Amino acid sequence: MSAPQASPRVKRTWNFDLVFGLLLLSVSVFSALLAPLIAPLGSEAMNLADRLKPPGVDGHLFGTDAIGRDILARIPHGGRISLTVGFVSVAVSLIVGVGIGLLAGFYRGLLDMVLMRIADIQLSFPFILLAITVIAVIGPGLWKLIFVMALTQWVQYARMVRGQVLSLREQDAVQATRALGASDARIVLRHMLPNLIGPVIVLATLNVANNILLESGLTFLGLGIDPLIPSWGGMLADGRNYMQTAWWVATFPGLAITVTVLGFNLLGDWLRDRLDPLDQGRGHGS
Amino acid sequence: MLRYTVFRLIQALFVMLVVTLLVAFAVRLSGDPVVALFQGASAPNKTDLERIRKALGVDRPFLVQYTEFVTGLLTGNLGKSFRNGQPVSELIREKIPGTLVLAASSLFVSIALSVPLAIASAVRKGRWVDRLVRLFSLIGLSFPNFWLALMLILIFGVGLRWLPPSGFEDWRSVIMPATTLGLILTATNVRLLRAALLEVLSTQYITVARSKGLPQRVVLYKHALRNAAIPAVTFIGLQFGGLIGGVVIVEQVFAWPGLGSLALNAISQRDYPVLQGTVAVLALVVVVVNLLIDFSYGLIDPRISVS
Repeated sequence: MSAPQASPRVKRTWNFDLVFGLLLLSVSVFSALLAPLIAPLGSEAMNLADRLKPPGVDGHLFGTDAIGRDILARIPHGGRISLTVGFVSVAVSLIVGVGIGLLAGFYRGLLDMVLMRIADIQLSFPFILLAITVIAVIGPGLWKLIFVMALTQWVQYARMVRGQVLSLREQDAVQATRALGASDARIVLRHMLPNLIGPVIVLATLNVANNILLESGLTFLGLGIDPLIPSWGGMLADGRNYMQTAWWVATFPGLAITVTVLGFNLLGDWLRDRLDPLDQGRGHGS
Repeated sequence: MLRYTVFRLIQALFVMLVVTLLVAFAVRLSGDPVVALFQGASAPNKTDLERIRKALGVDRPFLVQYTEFVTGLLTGNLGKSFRNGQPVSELIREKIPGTLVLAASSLFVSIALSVPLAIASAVRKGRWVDRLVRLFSLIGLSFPNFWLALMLILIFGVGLRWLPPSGFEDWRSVIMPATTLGLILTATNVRLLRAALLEVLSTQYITVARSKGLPQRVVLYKHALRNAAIPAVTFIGLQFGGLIGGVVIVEQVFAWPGLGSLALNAISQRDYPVLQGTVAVLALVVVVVNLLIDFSYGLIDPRISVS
């Protein structure tokens, strides 16, 4: 009767997620890190004589785009942008959101009330519309994109952390710590934070995936990264104009996005099985 | 029941107020619409600019313009487009059917696919069917929707020439955009519905139903599916905002005439009244859908009395 949950089948499933996810992520992360080695001439080296060469011709493994730039050389550079957006936007919203969530859950009061009303609004409004509007206003750009993502996503972390702090603060262990004379800061940081960080990490991993998708979508619409900088969304937007004649221009950047995002999603799923007791379903988009 | 209804209605009104205020404010940060109107063309002189500002009413204080917009929203008069002077409510009415057809057909695609897939997956949990469905839904979550759209255009529009690659020609034009959105939605819905089904299937009343000797079909469809619908429907409502975002991008890729492309064009043209009106209508749709979902729990599951 001991440990009926630990059947070998369950074990094998999460191993597949982890191994396959890490495999995909390492392809994507290492190629981004090693971009200067993969593309020693830089991502923008162009040769108009070599324009729209199909994959495999003249040493261009993924072909070339409309002004003769090697697609294989541009993809790792685009990966740097996508991964930067994914990680930085999540890091900023995580730090802000967890901080505010801890304060709101622990001290309640006005901050808590304001936070919950913001969360209500966020849950019932298509924030991509607001993101599109705000970016259209302040103009496209890497850091502006990160700013908008952080602005619209910190609430998710704050809400999650607040809920957990509310239940944790009533627990005997916390009451006992307080009785022993621990300060508020010590209770929150030493005793609460480690207990609630699991679901936060899961949410963060899945949000990295989401934000990479969001970045490519906004860039595709011309509302994301500067078109002069190589990015996956931008390459896809270019490729759209050559769908009739050159399928490879749009196909490979899209594959790169899918590989990276799938990697994060697999890792997030695996982490959720291990870290998040609530195990809720998750949506797509923002 | 009455108290809850009133509370939810007030909350919905509050959300609409904040959303319209945010959009109106954000849109006016974006610089002078009159200058934007003359993008590329030779800019008119100062007195002309003043005259146009006055004619369009953008010289007045923000709060005056906003109040006018809100009263207009209530009376159905949303002002006129800065671009061509057409009434905004007319423009929106023209585009609503396109977006509704697209949303309804992608929901249809998604339900037709996700219900059987989720059942197959939940019933055979951990077996190869389940793992395959799970992997495919995860891949579906990892696609950029516009890339899927481009690949469909490439294969069925350009390569095989079975379907019109973009625009609106006849009923076949809706197939590719609806499939794109439907497949992406399916990826999410299968996961939600599978998780909800697994939870229901492990409850005691399912065991009771089975031990009574009810056939698997009845247990699944009458008992399990109906109970699993509640959490699934809630999550679908919460994602409706995301669906709208997808609609905006997919409409753009397929040059589909709808509210999404209307909003995007309005952004690039700084056409305040059109953008404000479109976003307000889209937000209203999201808010109303979520209200309806909240109120429909009682219908799906009679045990829940809304209170």
